[in-house]
Amino acid sequence: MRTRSAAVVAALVLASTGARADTVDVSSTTMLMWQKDFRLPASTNTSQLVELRSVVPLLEILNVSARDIRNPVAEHLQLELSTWGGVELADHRWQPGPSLSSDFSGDLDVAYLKGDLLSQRLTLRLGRQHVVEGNARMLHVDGVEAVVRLPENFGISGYFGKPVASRFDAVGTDRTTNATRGDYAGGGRVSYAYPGWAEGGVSFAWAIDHGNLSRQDLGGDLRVTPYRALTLNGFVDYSLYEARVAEGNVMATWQLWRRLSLSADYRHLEPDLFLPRDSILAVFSNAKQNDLGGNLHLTIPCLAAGLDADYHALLEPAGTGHDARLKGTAHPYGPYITVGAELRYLHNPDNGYSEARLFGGHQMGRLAFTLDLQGFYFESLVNDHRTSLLATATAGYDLGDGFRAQVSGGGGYTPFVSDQFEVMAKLVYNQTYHLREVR
Amino acid sequence: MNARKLAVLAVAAFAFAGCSSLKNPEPRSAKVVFPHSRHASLGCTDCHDDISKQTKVQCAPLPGAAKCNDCHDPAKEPAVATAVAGLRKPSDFKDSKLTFSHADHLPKVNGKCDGCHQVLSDPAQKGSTTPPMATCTACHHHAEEFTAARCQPCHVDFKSYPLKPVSAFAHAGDFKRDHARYARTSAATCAQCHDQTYCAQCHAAETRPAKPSIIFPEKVEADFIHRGDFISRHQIEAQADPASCRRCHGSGFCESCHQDQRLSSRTLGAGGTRNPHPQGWVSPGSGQFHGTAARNNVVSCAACHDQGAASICVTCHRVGGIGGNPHPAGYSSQHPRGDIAKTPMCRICHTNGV
Repeated sequence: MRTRSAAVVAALVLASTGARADTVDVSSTTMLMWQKDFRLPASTNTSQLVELRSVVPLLEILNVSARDIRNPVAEHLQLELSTWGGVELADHRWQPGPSLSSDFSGDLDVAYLKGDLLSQRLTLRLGRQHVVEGNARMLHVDGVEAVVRLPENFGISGYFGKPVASRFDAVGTDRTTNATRGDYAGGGRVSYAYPGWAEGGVSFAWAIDHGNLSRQDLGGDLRVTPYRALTLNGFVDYSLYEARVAEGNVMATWQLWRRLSLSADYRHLEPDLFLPRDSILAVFSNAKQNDLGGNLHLTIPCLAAGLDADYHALLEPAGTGHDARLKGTAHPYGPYITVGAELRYLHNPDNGYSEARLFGGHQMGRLAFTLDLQGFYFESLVNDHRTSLLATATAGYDLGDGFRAQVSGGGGYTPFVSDQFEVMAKLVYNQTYHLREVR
Repeated sequence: MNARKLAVLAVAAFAFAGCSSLKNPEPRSAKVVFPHSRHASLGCTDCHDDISKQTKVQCAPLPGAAKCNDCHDPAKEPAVATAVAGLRKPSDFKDSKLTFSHADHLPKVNGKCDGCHQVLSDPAQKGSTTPPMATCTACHHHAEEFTAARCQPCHVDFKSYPLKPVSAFAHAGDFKRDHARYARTSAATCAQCHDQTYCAQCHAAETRPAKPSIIFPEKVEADFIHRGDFISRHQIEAQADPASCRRCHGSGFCESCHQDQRLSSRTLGAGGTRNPHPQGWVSPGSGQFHGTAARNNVVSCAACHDQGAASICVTCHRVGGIGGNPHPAGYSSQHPRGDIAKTPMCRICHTNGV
């Protein structure tokens, strides 16, 4: 609550002082959806059918980004806000949580102020934000992050705050859904960069939950470019509490020539170390998981096409699995026509699926259409079915002045809903305002 | 004031701040643009005399009125004096968002400025006079840096530029899988194009109203993880990479849905529970024994059974219970018995402290 109040006060101060931003991006998305949600029957031993309910949410998503706000305190002052509100006009959706206590819901995804101080030696970010660097695991937190730039390309960063929880009925659960469970989380990173050749750092992450340690990890990351076409990446996250490696990976990316790049990677995971240390389930397993594979990306200029091929062997405790994907995208008749196809095969030792997907889009002046067909074949029965097929089509029209209207419809069948159908109408406003010329 | 009203107030204040910044912007046409074409007889360094020492691109060293007065007498040429007073000033420009040193580059082009600056500012010149990126890539091969997302140290902030369509900057390969590797080491590189409002479209799992593929069905080229019928395949994805789920979703996220679908142990006795476990789940040696499953993928168990002392696991596996010791081999070497008394979670099962 204190964080939100501080954000409001900061905003009011900025507004009252007539603070002016050089660049303001505004994005508003209004969506009205109609779809069928399912509820599984209470028992598998009866002839009860899956229950279907109509849900009609009306959502408004607002993003505001104001950069280079002129003010007497900080350089490059930036405001980032992403928020939304919604009302359920019929039954309540169950995704991503159980029925809400109210028809209204909403939340802040991001709301922070960021600015440079001390001749850009110090960058402060205050508010609801993500912590990206090091072993923070993209922590969503209400708090503060400080980055200090030291001489000789050294740097230190630190963060502290409260892991974000759904406090506005957004998910409708009384439990936190944050991957980092805790009352408080903090950490930091010491980094060094040799421009154009290497950069890396050592990081620390910590979280405490009701007085008990939830996470205490030490991380290391490195990116090296020994010569222009080759980049090596490495990362390790070590649990100080369990004295085990939670995650380690290395990847090499090699641009063989302009149109072809290859990558190979190896990753080691101990998934139980992604559970909070104060979870009762943290004491049941120390299983290890590895995967090894690579990727090929080929650009075919004559078709304006790109082809991606991936394969990874999944070395799981129960055996060896496979994850393979082939995806091609082309613009055969100019940039306004897109066609693509994707195939995927994911096989675990005891289940898996195959996927085929076709997609395309055509922009004709102010009109734009897309079509997406996606089908799955499951190796093991899912609710007594093996297949799933969905089609989604959209039609959008550019209304001018930053406004765009769009309708979309989707249908098909899944193991849970035999006749699935959903529609959505969307009105989007995107605008960027520049006040000063960039040299 | 409740939280919702505060949020609405914040939005209104932010909107007001944004709108106030848009009122009465100074039009570019009100300023006098320096007529380079009328001064073609001069050399560049006659006016830009410090350029060979500049290690940063910034507007502060632009020649001022004093430089004009070297040739023009304001008293004799009042029209020129008026024009000079109306010239665009350094404060009318943002500093460049590029790392570029004229001091380093001028010797490499033998001091020939027009190698890069082929268009100069002039009243008749309506387009941008900043050398395009093609000028840089004429010498600097860019493909490797582009592929490996090495925008720095040349680029400092892409967001301030009117970028080409995003499709021109599609990240190659399985970028959905690989982007975290770049971000961990250099989040600043990502931030040159993407504000966190962009990241939050996928990464704010606690707070977003719907998954990205629902909000953006028109983005058919995007690699959304949960596109289409993810419900039917999510347990397969979770087994293939349990850590992938746990990077964004805590146990509460999984359980909130499982509870509503009557799959969670929390719904026991509350309208019935649909038991998702196969036959033989409690029979050792059955091939479907829950102990083996938990050893192999305990993260899946946490999707329904992560309730601390209220967890169903405790019922049987507490000290003296019928489930026996659940700890994996080597557990005691990392966790001496002395830890039990100090750790509340241990004491849930080790109720007597040993």
